[in-house]
Amino acid sequence: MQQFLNALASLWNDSGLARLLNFQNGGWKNLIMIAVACGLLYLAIKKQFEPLLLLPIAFGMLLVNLPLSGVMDPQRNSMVEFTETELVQYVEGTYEQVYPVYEQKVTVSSEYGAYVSTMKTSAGDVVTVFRDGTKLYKADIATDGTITVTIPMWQHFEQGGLFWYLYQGVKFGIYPPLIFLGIGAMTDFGPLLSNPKSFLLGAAAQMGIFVTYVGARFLNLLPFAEAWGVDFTTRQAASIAIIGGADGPTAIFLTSKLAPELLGAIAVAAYSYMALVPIIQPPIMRALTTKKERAVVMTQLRTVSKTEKIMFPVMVSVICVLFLPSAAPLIGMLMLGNLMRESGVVDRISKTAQNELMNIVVIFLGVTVGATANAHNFLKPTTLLIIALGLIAFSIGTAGGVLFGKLMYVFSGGKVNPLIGAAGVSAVPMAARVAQKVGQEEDSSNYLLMHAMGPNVAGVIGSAVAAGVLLTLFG
Amino acid sequence: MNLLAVSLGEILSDVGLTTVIGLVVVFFVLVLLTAIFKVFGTVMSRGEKASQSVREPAPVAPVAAAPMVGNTQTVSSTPEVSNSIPPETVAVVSAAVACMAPAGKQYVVRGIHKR
Repeated sequence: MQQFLNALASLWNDSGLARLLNFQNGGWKNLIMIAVACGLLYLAIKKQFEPLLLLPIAFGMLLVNLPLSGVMDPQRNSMVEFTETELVQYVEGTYEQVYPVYEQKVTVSSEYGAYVSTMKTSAGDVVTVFRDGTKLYKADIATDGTITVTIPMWQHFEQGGLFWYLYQGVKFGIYPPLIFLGIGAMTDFGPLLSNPKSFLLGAAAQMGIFVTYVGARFLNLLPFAEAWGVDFTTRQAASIAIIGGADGPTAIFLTSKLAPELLGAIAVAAYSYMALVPIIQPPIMRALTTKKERAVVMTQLRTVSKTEKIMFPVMVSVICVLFLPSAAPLIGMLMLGNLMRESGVVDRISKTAQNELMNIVVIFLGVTVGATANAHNFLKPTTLLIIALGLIAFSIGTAGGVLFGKLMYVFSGGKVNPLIGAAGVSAVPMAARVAQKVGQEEDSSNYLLMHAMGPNVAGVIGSAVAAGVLLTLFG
Repeated sequence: MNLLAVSLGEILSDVGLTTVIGLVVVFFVLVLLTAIFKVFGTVMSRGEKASQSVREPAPVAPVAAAPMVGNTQTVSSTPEVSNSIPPETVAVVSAAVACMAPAGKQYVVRGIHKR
């Protein structure tokens, strides 16, 4: 009976539930994270806020915060020293190798010559050995008297969790460019080509990134900074600021390079704000524009020829990469995807990039980014600050786009509707839809969607360029 | 480096430099792209017009005044649309029709109805 009870107690102690309910050991933190994950799942499923990404992110977060799940445990390779008996067997040549043996060569000076001797093995061979107390190693003496001691060790390999292996795609910056490949294959840059001035709106909307960088750095000087443990480095501040680009893959790409420890918080903030575009942007757009400006009906866009569409990805790649080589993975893959689409000769791989590949990478990226948000990393005051700074970045980006739109409205003699400037903050196509919706509140016959798609896709290029700048400065 | 120990002046110089460099580079690259594609678009349009005029020397008869969603025409009024069709659908259908129009031809969306 006692044995049975002991076994039960041991089973309980080894269970995740026991760890979760062990509040003194931080179990409450996991409970909070599980609640946050469930909240995000609710937003993804019920409210349909960016469900394609929020759902896997939330589930990854849920799994990693279940104690002992081990899904994000890193792979461990450790070296284990031989026992004295094994050392003798190794010198004798009778050691039976079960695990891979690694031989570490250590060179010692001739002063240790007293430790060196010879011994006869059971096979009758004479070998030079180095005796360190009770330990015995193979040794070689060079002509100058230096002694090389061979210390054998066996390699102990501990397999990592599933998400840890999948996470390597984030860590090495593989997934975000693959997502960009899919985005490129799905995007029609025609509206941007028919009105190239939209590029400027895409640039203006990146203002939020740099203003937020300033904000993040100055937070370090606030009175509560020390108490809250706020000490954002330049690399961390740059990673937080990129949330203003409203481009999830770009934010993940830059953060994985500059501040991987903030990846969970930044990814959650970036995707949350992208999902909240229809709530965050309209008040800013209305506040910064007049009724007359919002009611501007823009002239029909010209038709763009196939040649232009084919030349576009090639030219953008060459120009951007020549100026900002660090933006090559993002811009290059975005433009490759677009070239596959527009060339019309590789329909099969274009469709794969848009659908199967994109979906697979989204699953891997989502769950692993979510899995970085464990209680230890996520439940910090800095996470709240990152979320607040992200909102500021996003709002300033929107405002920057709208204000530049107003400038274009003035210089074009009232032909540009400033609302399309708000679409400069990437978030394709949500931001363009918001511009269309707000425009139609003033004039239901006003179709701004295609006009807003120009700045919208320009924003994708703009945020990738901004990421390239930050990577060059702080990478 | 402990940032708390860094002076305000140092932070100011860092953020000032980063912001200015960042914005200048982003604007420079995108202004460059604007200029290049503006010129490229103009050249391509002229080339197309020239090749069109070679193919179709006869002047095109004016199209009856109607709500147009064409290559060069401005929409002067909205097409007849069933109430249940969302405006996004109208925009997408109009854009699709405009995209299908070969250069020089103009298409009219007179109405969109659900079957």
